Amino acid sequence: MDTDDTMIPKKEVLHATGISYGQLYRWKRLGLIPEAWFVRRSTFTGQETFFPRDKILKRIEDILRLKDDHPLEELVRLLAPEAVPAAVGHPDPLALPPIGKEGKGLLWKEGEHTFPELVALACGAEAVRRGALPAEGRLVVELVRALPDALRAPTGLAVVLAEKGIEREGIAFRAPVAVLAREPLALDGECRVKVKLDLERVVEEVQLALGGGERG
Amino acid sequence: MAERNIAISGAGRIEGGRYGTVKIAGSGKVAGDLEAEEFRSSGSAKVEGDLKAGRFESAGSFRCEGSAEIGEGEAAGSFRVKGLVRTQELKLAGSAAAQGIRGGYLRATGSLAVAENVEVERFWMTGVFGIGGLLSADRVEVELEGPSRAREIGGEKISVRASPRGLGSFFIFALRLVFDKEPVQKLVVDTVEGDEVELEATEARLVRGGKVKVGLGCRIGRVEYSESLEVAPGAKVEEEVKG
Repeated sequence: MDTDDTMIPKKEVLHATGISYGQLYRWKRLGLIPEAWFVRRSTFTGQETFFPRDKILKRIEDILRLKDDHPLEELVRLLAPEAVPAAVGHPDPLALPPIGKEGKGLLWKEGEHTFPELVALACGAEAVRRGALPAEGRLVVELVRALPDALRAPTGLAVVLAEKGIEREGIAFRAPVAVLAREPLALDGECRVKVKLDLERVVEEVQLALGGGERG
Repeated sequence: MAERNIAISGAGRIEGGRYGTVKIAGSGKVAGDLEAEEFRSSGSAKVEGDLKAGRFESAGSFRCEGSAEIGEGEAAGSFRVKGLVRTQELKLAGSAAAQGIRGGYLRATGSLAVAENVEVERFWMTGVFGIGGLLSADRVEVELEGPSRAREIGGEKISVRASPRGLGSFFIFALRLVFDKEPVQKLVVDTVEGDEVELEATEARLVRGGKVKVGLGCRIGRVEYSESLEVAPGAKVEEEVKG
């Protein structure tokens, strides 16, 4: 049997929270409980679905706390913006702490930004805060912007800004490279990692910043 | 601004793009992605990309090589979508296949083959189906007319009934021709989970629910229930657990 206590079987989730099967499946359909959290594993009686324990319990607690005051579609925007990227936005990215003033040199447009765009900016801004040059920050933004689907299942994904040293005919220079990769990461010996961001953390920080008012 | 309308009668091919109404009578092909307020076809239609249609009607054969987003639609005959179908309301009669279906209301009569998940608010099926992944809906209502299967079924209310025989349904007729015997009305599924579950002619490893009724022709490995369990005489439940 599984002794991994970071995971919780489905039946225990229902017992611990008191929700019904109807609710669990409805919330899954809406994207309130991300697909990626449903992990099928073999047990000695057959296949069983497990969830990451802390995440699922926290999410259900949030849903139960907020569901009487907000329609479910609104909850998706608050709790799981990655499920409805087009429906969540913010007109002033620099006002969000995960982006902040470091995001100023990274903006490519004005006005409304979608959730994936905000996450891309937050990645770039965080890279700048950790010592990346503005041009390198923009490289990170471009990379994440081009891959909005990665935000739906960001667990284990790292956004890496590296430098590769190149020497040709006596001229040595360093070229920046931005990579979205799954941990553990392997780069060749000529590369030096300048900044490494946990994409899941950034996604959570942006979610928190967006939903801050409502969550209190 | 109103988008332009287009009609094919006879045989024809149009470029993808945005249209008001697309009407096909005869045989029509659409090259590339198509977005239309209304899509109507009788005969044979093929979209060689993604389809987005507010209103959809097809009689005869419809094929889509990409994914289909349908506001409200009806298809009679053959309906095949290679990718995912998203819909608010879709009625399918005849033979239907897709990679996955998501949305509001799905009514299917005949046969339905889905490689991955069907996740809708309401699922009402009469006929035979094969679903490779999860079938989930607030309300799942199935009238079985032949051998069917799904990996998992989950929702609020789940009801599976064996349809009364001898109604002369086309599918029973076809199955008779192919197998030269009465089709077996049986659903094979690994797990069924619902707050209210009523089953007939179902073979499952595990059934979990609040109120569970196990009816005629069922063979269930284990039932876990929280409120009540009824097992019809002749139905087989190997293990019952309350809690």
